[in-house]
Amino acid sequence: MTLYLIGEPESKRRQYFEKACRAQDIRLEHIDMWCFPEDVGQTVPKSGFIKIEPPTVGTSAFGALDAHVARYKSYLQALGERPYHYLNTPQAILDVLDKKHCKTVLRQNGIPTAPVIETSGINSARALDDRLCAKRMTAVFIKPQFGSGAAGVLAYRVHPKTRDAVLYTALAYRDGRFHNTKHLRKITDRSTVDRFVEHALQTPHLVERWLPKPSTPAGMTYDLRAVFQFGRLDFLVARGAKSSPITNLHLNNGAIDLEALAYEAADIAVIEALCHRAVGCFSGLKSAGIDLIYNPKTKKASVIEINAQGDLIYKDIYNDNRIYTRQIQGMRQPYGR
Amino acid sequence: MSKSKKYFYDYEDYEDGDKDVNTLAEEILNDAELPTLSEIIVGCWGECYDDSVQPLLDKIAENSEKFSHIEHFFIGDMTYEECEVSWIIQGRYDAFLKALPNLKRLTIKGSAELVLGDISHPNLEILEIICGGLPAEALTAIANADLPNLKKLNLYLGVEDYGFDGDLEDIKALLENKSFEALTSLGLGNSAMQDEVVDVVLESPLLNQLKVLDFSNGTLSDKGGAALVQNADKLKHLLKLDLHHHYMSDDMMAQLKGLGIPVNLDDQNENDEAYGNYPMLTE
Repeated sequence: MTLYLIGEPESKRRQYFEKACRAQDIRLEHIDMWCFPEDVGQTVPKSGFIKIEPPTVGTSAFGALDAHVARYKSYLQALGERPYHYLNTPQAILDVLDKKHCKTVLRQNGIPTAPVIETSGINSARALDDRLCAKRMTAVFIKPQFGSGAAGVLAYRVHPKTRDAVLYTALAYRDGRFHNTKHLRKITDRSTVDRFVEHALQTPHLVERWLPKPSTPAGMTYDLRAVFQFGRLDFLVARGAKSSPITNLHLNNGAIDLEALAYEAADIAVIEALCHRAVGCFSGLKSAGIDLIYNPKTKKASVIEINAQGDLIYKDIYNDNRIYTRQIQGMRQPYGR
Repeated sequence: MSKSKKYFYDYEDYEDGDKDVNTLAEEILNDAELPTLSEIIVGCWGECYDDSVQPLLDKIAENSEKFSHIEHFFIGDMTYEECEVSWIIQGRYDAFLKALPNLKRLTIKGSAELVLGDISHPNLEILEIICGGLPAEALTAIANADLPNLKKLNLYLGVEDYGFDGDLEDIKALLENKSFEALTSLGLGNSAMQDEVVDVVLESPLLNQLKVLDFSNGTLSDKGGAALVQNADKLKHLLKLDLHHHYMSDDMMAQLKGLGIPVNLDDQNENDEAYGNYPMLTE
């Protein structure tokens, strides 16, 4: 059997997916991400099973993200017209890439997730403050509509009486442009906060309530990244942050051992059930990285975000490489191999 | 055997407006576990940026007989996820302390509307205030307080933007409190004028009785580090010198390691040329 991996030529994803293929005696053929879909047709037979990797942006300049996303969307749309088998179909990837659409689908299906606040027509930070205070939603995340991870995300909070504001972000502003960095900052200077917020409001975005994250006994706030594949919770890791509400393992937040959280089987069952329901909302999605908040006191979980390519977990690839192993097992299933 | 319990609300508890500081106070008062506790931690009481904790402090004072066995109160234990520290609305503590003569430890987080008032407490051993800006009233109140059993005092001084309106004279006055006979651990950190605070403490006779000295979380630079090195003789009796979160150079850190006493130099920060150096906790 041959699997086909569409992705960047050199990446940890490719390296460890290949490793998992070798361990299961599966042949892997790599197809360069940006070849035209027609080239895919020349390489992949109709029965071929494809995994699509996410493209890297290649620059820290935040303004490059829109063009990058547009290119990727076009690529997926063109690829989606081809009758291949996919780990995740191009349409499923598109569905969750669009955070607004993803959120709408989750809410329509009764999946607990942070409520969204409508911001059409709002272009200034002060107008946003007025809307947030009127809706009694004074702590929010402002996220790019398309994209994943912490890129471009603002955690924003405004005091309803004084209108003081605090912003947490990995974005930096220099040389007249916004850049994604790996460094999380807290900004309290009002004019700087306004600049960041207004820039976000002028690009396709989503504003949702900032749900407070729980804390570990050691005082670290955390959320969870679950990797849910073929109907099963394959991996669960807690992402801790000491002084920022933005958690992302690729920002070098601390991965917290689950043992430290002392979850019981009932807690894991709640998380797995929610993942099952959430993934079930998207036809064609067999593998997903799901960001969650779980409150062990109330036994309630909420979906923060779904990522169709959220399967790269360093804690896993450097150990059992279980996620990619399970992906390949799942992809082999239809073929009885 | 000591037993601790934290009382707090999650966002889901108070988002509809049903729960607030008053309901939390009632829950604590009516908790069947209360007689078994030695430590009470009060976390998020709802919209802590809008509602003062005063009703809860008053309720405890009014029912002091139910809390006479409590040895430690921590009022305001919440992270930035729940409320920025400078937005936590505190309250007035003199009646609270007077009503709890057996209290040994008080920890307060947040300083908006914080008033300590006249303090005279026979048994308090530890007082700690964690905030982004400590008001001058608190410094004066502590300077004038009668705390004969106080062993540890830890104050986050903070910055002017978030409530610090004192000065070095206020700190000098605090160090001259004659009732601090039992004090062995002193923390005056998280300061935007950390170097100057070091200078003031180095000149104080109180230094002679201390075992632990804490200048952490502030803007301590090589200037303050040099003052410590130059006054090594005054520090040689210390069991611990805590300077973590600082802006000192590698060279200064090496000199401080040569003091011959345990020194915490973790969390070295680079000077921020664009925005200036800040203490660890402000907003």
